[in-house]
Amino acid sequence: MSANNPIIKKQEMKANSKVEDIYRLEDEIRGVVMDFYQGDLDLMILAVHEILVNAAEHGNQLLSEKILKVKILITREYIKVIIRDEGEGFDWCKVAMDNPGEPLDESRLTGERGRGIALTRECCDRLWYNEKGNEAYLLFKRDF
Amino acid sequence: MNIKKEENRALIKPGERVDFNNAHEFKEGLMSILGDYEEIIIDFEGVKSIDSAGLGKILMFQKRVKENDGSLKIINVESDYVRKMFKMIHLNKIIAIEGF
Repeated sequence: MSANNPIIKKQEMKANSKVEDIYRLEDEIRGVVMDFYQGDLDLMILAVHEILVNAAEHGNQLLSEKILKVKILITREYIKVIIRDEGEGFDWCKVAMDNPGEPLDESRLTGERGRGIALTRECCDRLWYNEKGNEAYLLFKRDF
Repeated sequence: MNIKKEENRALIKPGERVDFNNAHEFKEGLMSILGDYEEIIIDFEGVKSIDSAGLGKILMFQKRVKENDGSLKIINVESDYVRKMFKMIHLNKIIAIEGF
C-alpha cells in the first residue's frame, strides 16, 4: 500500500466458527466488495469460502467459541481479504505451493487442507499466509 | 438428500448446497449405493452451490464407480454458479455431465 495506491475502503468483521456464521460472513464480504470488483464475484466468494472453511475446520477445530477475523482492504488497484483463525497454523508453503500452475485433479481435490487451497488459487490473483500459517491473505486485482 | 433406486440404476438428488457442511452425509449416501447398480445418476436440479468439499466427494465417487465397472452421470445442472465450478475444474472431462 503506497502513497500512490491508498486504501479507499477498509472493513473488519468477525464471527464464531459455526456453519451459519461462515455463510453470514460470506454474504457480508460480498456486500462490502460488490461495488468495487469488476471480476467474477462468485469466484471471489468461493475463494473466501474455502479459506474461511479451512480456518474454521483446521485452525479453530470447529469450536464455535473460536473466532474468525476478516479484514478487507480496498485500493484503486486491488482488494485484499485477510482471514485469521486462532489455530496453531500449518506448513502452508508445502500445502499451498505444491505443483503450482498444474490443473486441478482428483488428488488435489480429495486431499484435506490442500483441497480448498488448490481451488482458491484458481480463483484469486495471489494467495499467501503469515509465517505461522494462521492468517491468509487473498489478493484480487481490480479490473478497470 | 434423496436416493431413488430402480432395477439397474440409482438416482441421487442432493440438497440445495453440496459443501463442507454436508459433504460427509453426501459421501455416505453415494457409498451406500456403490456396487449395486450399473448406472448412477446425480441429479443437480435445485442445487445452488458446491465447494471443494462437494467436488472432492464426487471425484472420489467417480473413481470408486469406475473401479466397480459402473457408470456415473450428472444431470440437470441448472445453477450458473455450479456450472461455473464444474467448468473451472473441467469436471466434464472426467464425468459425463448432461448439457456440457
